[in-house]
Amino acid sequence: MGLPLSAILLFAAPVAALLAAFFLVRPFKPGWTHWPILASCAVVTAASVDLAAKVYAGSVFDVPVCAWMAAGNWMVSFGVRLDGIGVAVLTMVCVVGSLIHVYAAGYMRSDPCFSRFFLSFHLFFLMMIGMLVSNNYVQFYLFWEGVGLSSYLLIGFWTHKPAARSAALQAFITNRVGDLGFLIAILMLLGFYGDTRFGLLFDAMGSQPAPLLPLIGLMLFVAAATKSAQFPLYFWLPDAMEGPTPVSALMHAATMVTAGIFLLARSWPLIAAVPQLPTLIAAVGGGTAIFAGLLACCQTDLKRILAYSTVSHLGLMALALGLGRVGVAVLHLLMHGFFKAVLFLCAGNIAHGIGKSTAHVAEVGGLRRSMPMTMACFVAAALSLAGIWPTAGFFSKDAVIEAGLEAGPVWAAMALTAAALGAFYIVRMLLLAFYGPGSGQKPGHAHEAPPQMGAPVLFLALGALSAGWLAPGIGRLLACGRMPSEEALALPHFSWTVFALGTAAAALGAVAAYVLTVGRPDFEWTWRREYPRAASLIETDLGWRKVVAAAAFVVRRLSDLVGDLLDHRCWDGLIESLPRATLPLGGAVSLTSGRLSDHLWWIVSGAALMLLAALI
Amino acid sequence: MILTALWLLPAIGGFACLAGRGRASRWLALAFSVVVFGYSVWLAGPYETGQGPWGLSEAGSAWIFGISYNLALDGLALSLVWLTAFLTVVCVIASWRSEFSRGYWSSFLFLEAALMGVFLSRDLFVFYVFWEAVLIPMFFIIGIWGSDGRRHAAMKFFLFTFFGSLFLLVGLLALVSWNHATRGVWTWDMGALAAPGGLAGLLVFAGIFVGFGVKIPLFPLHTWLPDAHTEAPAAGSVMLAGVMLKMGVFGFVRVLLPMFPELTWKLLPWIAGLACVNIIYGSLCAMWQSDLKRLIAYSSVAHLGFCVLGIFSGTPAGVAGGCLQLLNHGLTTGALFMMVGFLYERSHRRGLADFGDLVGRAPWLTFFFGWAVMASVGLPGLNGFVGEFMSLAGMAEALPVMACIGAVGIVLSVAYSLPAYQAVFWAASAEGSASAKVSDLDLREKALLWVLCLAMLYIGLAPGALLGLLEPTVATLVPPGCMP
Repeated sequence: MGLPLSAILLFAAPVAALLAAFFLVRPFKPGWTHWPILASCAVVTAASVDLAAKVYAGSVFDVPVCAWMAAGNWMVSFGVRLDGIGVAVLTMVCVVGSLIHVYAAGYMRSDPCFSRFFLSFHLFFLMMIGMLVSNNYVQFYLFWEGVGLSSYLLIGFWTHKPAARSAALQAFITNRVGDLGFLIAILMLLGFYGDTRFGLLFDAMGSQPAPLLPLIGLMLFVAAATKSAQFPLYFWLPDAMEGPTPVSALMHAATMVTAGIFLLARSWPLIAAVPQLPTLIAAVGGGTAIFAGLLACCQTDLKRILAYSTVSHLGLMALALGLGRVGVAVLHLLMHGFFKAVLFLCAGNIAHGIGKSTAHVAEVGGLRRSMPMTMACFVAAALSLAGIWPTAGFFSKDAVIEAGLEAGPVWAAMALTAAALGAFYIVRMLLLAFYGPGSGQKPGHAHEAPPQMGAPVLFLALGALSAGWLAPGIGRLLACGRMPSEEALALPHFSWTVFALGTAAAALGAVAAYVLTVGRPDFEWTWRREYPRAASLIETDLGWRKVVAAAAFVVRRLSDLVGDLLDHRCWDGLIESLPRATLPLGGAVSLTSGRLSDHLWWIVSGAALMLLAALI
Repeated sequence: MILTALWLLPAIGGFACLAGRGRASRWLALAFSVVVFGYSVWLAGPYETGQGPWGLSEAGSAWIFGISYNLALDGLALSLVWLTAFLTVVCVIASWRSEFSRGYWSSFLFLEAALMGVFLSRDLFVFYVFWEAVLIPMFFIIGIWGSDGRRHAAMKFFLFTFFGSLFLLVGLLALVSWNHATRGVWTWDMGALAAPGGLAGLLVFAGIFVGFGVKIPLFPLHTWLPDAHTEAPAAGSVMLAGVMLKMGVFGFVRVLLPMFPELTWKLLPWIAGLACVNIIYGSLCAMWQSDLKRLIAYSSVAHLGFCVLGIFSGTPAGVAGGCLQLLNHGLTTGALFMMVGFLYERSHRRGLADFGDLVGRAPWLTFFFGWAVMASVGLPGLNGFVGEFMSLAGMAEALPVMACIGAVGIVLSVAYSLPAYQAVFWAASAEGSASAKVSDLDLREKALLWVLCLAMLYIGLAPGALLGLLEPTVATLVPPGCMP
């Protein structure tokens, strides 16, 4: 079975658009760089929908394309795999990503480096698409790293901002730590099985488990935890907010952080074969969901609230996945993509409205009059995030809670706590931004975003409201390809218990938020002064950031020690002093004193020696 | 004659440059280097029609002590010949504007001639002569046309590598005389020599290993490298890092591995450990540097560690990856040194703290430098990844633990190169920064870098052609049954 045309377009369109934009448009009309790229977005979205329809209709593609590296009988190749979970995520990524492209074209309009931005932005998108349709781990790794590179370029896009530079560096280095885990896993798999194509690999694994399988599984989880910002390697994600807002939106909703969850979903047969590893994933996920949810409640920057919220939701996905409910995790990934994109773009609109690159809660407030459209979209997405019936978030969050209930009360409690915290921080943000008086001056000049930035948000908000009704269809789509098993991919049915518990948790969080922001309007601004220790704990993410800083410090000291002391001073110093040390030696047996008699003496004795040697 | 021409042509070119005056010698250098490059590319045709691993060979009559002028060309040699010829053209074009004397241009052609000889020799004596001959033009390039500390660096370079060569010479002499003593024939032919066993074998192995190890350079014999790379003129660094470091690994592949298959396999944990030390130690040292050239020099120490890791793994993937990494490192590090040279030409600075905000002043330089840095940190899709990955994959089959330790290098490589990249190109420039003097690349420089960067991309995505070229050589090095 050959590749369908739409699968070829999936690569051909973005590559052609990037080349055209770089070589043909940018040198002459830098302000038009986005046109070929937006065209490519349209093509890619159409192609992804077409592929989803094909896969839904029952055809799963796993097509080798060409060899990449080969030596002897060792080979790594390129190939495309289109199955249920692949195209489900692909379609969401394409739809959400394309709308964010449209938004970005408006948002970044006036930036002097508009074309550089748009090229990196589309590269980011291309890398994500490539990753979703890979049929082997090495190719997956290629795009995985490509995602890392483009995120580096985009987080550090405003190179004049020191915070952006250090955030970009931190993101790339931290991600590389995860990549190291991925690389080790791939090397072990390749060393043992000689192949990394998913289908063949998982078949072979059943009959012949590799001796290092626990290590491989663990390393894959390390990689996924870094990319998907799970504790303890989550810290790069909130800092990555230094990039332009469309980047944050693309990164959180569609392109980057979902990669880790997708990797785990893809590798599920491998993960499930390692005893205790799924439980570890669920525990780390649940812990991260609560930890990041708590921190999200106390952030003062609009984008940072959303960033911690993403970490928390990724934790929920990991929780569901670890409990063996891969389908639920992927469903939440899809729904989260919609509402998180809306929330970020609304935050972008607010910042744009008050003329800044990011907004502090103290600088906003009372925006409901000046930005009604943005507020409507925000409310829709907030309801979805909080998991209120009948929005998209309700369906996936309930599924997570249900998965928790099935596995045990502890897991259910984790999911419910995270749900309540989610409702709390999002309602708090809503009230502070659109109702609250704000502590500083009123942003009187705030204005609604232009249509180019408003329309994509509106479409996405509709998705955040209604995508949940597609859940049964998505469930069927995910099961196409049967990898992982059908059982793991199944979605739960509606249950009143779960509905009641989930809604109660959300209501609890929302009421608490209302009481603390509207009921006690001063509390938001005074608690930091009243409880300075708590405030400083929040500042350092309960102390974890200090640990990270210490680790970085140790590595730097180590390089000082090795580079300066050991190599430069000791070893090279010793080598450099050798010639000087031999000087007196040379003086003692100098052959070239310059006196003729000495020379004669050497000549005679040398000749005598040679004669002696010849005689013997 | 078909192979002799490969080193004779540049040698004639070298004399012609010496005879030429002023601009004429510059044009002569360009003409000869381009002709040699064209000739080396053309050689692919005759090579393809050859039989066995040795596509082309040339045998001379025996001289005293069994020395005979034997040349031969296999896939590995051909690829390194291409690299040498290509980088020589690049060097000539890159230093086009710098007003250097005719000695400069002729030195590069003599260097090219000597390097070609090293890669072509089948006779150990001829090999050694060319091996030593490489030192002479490089000594002058560093000592005459280098920057401030050039005298010291040139002397250190010469003494250090010469010291290493003595070990090599003693090892080779012992090998040849042992062969004479046991078999009664004088021969220096790489294919005909047999290796002694036991302690004698170990000693010969150690001598040759140290001799080649200095060139690579292997820890702890590396301290000549940062000085030589830093003080050499830009084009000198390109040749030094791009081709000369490859001689050591090439020596391993050509001399040591075929002669001592069992011994290398037995010593594998030690050698792999040494390679891992190279990777991690080189990276940590690179992290500490404050001079761009020194940083890239130390990064070479780390990168060559991957090559050694690969070729000693004794697996097809590892050996092929290690050999390919030789080319990759030549292209990537060559490009990096060349760009630092462009910076130095404009501002006479190369410290990390001397620049800043080049992304605004020199966007093309920023673009290409970023590209080469990504290739150097092993971003998949570019050339560095293919070599490193295959080397590590080979080692993962042989000694998984060492592969894991070596893989740590991919984290360290970003930890030293990206902060430096950001400091030079992204950070705000301080008061009185040298950035003010940096103008963006001109057409000649851009064209050179496009060629280099596209080559990196090509090898990164479609290394098949080059790997196919290396295949016969790799097959002879990985005899079935060598693996346990």
